[in-house]
Amino acid sequence: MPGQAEGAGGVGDREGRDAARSSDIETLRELIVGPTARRVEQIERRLEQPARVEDTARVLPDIIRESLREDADAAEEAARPLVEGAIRRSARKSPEALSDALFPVLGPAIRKSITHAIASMMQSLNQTLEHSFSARGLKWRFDAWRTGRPFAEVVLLNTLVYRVEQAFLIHRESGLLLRHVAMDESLGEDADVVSGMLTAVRDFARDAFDAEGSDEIESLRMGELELWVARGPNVLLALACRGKAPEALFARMQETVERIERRFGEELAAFEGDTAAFAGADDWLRALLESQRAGDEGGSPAKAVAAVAAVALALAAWMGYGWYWRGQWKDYVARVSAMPGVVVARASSGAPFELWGLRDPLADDPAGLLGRFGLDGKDVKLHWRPWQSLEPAFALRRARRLLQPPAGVEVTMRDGVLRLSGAARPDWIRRARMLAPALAGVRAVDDSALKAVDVRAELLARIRKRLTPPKGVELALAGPEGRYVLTARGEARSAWKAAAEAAVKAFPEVASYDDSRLIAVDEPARLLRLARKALRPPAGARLRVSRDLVLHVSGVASPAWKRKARERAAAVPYLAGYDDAGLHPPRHIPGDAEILAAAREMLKPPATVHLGVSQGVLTAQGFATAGWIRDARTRWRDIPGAKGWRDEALRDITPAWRALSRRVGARLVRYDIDSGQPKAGGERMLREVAEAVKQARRMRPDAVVRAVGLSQSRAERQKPRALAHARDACHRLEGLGVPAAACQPGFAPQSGSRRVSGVRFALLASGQAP
Amino acid sequence: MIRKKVCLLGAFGVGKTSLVRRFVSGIFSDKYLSTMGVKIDRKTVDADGREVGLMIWDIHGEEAFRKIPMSYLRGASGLMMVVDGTRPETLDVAAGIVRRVDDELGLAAPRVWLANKRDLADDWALPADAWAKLAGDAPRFETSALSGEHVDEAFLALARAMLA
Ligand SMILES: Nc1nc2c(ncn2[C@@H]2O[C@H](COP(=O)(O)OP(=O)(O)OP(=O)(O)O)[C@@H](O)[C@H]2O)c(=O)[nH]1
Ligand SMILES: [Mg+2]
Repeated sequence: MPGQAEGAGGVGDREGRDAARSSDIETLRELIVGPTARRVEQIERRLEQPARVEDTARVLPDIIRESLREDADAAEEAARPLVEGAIRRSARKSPEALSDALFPVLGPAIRKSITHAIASMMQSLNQTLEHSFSARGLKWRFDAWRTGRPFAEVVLLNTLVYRVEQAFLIHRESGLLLRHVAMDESLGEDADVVSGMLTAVRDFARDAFDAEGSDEIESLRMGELELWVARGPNVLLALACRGKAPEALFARMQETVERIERRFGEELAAFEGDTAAFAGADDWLRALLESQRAGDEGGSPAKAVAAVAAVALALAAWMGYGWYWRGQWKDYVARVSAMPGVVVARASSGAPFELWGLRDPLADDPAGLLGRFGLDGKDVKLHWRPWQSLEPAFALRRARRLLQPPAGVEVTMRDGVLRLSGAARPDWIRRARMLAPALAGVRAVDDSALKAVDVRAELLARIRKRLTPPKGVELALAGPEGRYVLTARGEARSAWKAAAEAAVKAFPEVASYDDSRLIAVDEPARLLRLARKALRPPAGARLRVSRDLVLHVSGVASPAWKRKARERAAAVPYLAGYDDAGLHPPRHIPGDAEILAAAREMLKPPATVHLGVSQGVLTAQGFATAGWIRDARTRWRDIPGAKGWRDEALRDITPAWRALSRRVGARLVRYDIDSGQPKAGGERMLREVAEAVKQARRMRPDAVVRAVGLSQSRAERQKPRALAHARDACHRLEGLGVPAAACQPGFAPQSGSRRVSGVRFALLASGQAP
Repeated sequence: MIRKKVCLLGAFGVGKTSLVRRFVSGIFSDKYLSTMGVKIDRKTVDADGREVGLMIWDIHGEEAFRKIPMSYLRGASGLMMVVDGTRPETLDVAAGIVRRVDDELGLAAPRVWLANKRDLADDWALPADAWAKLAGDAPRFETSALSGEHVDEAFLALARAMLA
């Protein structure tokens, strides 16, 4: 190769010259590099003075050029910190901006250097292949014979022969196919669907793994076909290859992408779906289909080498800076890879450090380990996708978490068999039996040592413990689960009964509580009953149990009984005390006649009531008002010697009486002032009054009717006329069968605005005030 | 020929895949094979004398644990929002998707709204007010992938809107 020969000659040439001019260099070094600090100081000073800027600018390029030519190493040494710092700062601040800016320049440069490197590697590889060809050839022939394939195919598979069958130019954002060329035109049928799917797959991969930006070339294998994708800012270029394509092809792809981006920049920016505008790219695409031979190589290799050197310099600086931390990161990744329940799929040492992998939610958080390696959450991105580890420890942890075993159940794991033992509620067991076999990492479930607890018995035991029923109380729990009925029967103090009722509420499982057959032994009414039975008090003695459970005995009884009663009361259980201070010995015992006289005196019975007495028991019969009957029923007890009161034969006249008296009171007989006679209709009214009065007198013989003559005013002279009307009315009632004595005439002044002259009536019983 | 990317969006099982099949191949199947990821189909329509190649992205239905990645929608020129007229809750799902499209993508592409499964007249439960409010002034169609009712019209309406 002519290039190589020239290069080699160049090196030898320089060595010769170096020896000859070493003293000159010393001088130059003294002039330029030696007093660097002094000179830099001078330059700085000059820069600070604006007037000097221009002439400095004029000489600066010369100085740099000179220094590079004379001693490149020293110049580089001087400039390096500056360049490095600037690149590093820029890269850290906005890597996008830097790479965008460098893309048009560095892209081709890097590619060319790689092409160069690959070309030479290929050459040596070819040589190696040639040397060993015969041996390989024999092996291939053997393989062909063994597999029954044609020898040509085996050679095709084993050598780097490939074929690019289709090229797709794709609008990156929408996935729409811009252009498509194929070796076989019939392949174009589904090209735009392929292009869409390819974009979708890339979108998916980016979302799922956050994977953009890691590689320049992506590949996708689909059976025998391999799809290679190169991307520019606006387009994707995809090649469908059969066989193994050489790296050089990718470089050409990338180059084509760049060319297309440059040529169609405007059309791409304004793309609205019209693909015709990109027809000009077809030739470039077709060029990719043709062959694998290295393409045209323009430009001078020297320039490329210089560019590569510059880039390599920057990279070296980068690497030096990050070397330490990358080491730490590597250690961290190794440590995380060893964590149970965590699988590291990929780790990148770019900035920031990134790690992709799977993590069981039950595993420890790998982020917690960062600090141990001096790493900071800000420099590191961890991307975890959830998964379930099948390691026994995790299967067990997962089982515990899902099943939530209650106290008394033990969950263990051995050889993939999940073992449940202990005692639990049947519903928990049912659930566990259903869920456990479905757990990832559980091969089988052994619950032979799992016993169901009797829910009801267990609940009853808990209730017992809480209520602590006294002897004599029996607790029972019945009914289906969830609707338990708790019954308490037997005897207990009322304090316990009340406490139990409250305590049961703490058991939501108990739907209802029945203590109707629980006797509160210390209730006053009950104790009174028991005391009566035990003491057998005589007629005159009265028993009472107060709320504080003291038995009070009062009334009249013989001293003998009083003594006995005290003893008997001691036998009544639950009594808190005994009090017989109100018990007196009997004095004089009144006879029946005395009792009757006292009764008449005290009860003042109306004439319609007949009182009798026999052996101290009073009887009342006849008619009386409800009020009198009510009074008599309590007041007879105040009659000394009276032992009882019977009034079954006493009729309460009140309702009938009230009806009659209302009927009588509603009648008004109008009188004509001039004639002194009732007006028309008066006769009928009087007849009705007479009927009512007679009926009332049958109930109460002492019933009378009062006829009230109404005067027109309060004037004194009006009274005689009103009284005359009343007398007339009485006279007329007498004519209708009401005894003269049963009608009492009177008069009354009227009030109100509508005044009449006439007679009103009122029904009265004797003793009743008018 | 103009090519346009169109995305079908909606809750799972509303009939997106069925609508595309009906429109592209003229067939219907009552089997339900839930879409995984995206399936892309193509059909050329004639919109008022202009040919448009529709690249139809049938995207998997939105589910709580499987949201539609917004990256699928990039570069789309039209959206076809699909709800199931027999499942009113799919309106909420569609509303949620639209909200995300607006918030995360700010995609101003024209939309048409489809209430699908119109043939299931007995189960039809499309709340008219909510439906009209959801679609706003975008065209609405009550479609059936089974009978083909209004399916072509819906796609054509979207094609026209994208060319306008
Ligand atoms: N009766 C009737 N059934 C329909 C109609 N459209 C779809 N289906 C049925 O609904 C079910 C779901 O349909 P798909 O088209 O797979 O729904 P999808 O929206 O693509 O579902 P995902 O891919 O899971 O989001 C299938 O069983 C279809 O047969 C329709 O118009 N009428
Ligand atoms: Mg589908």
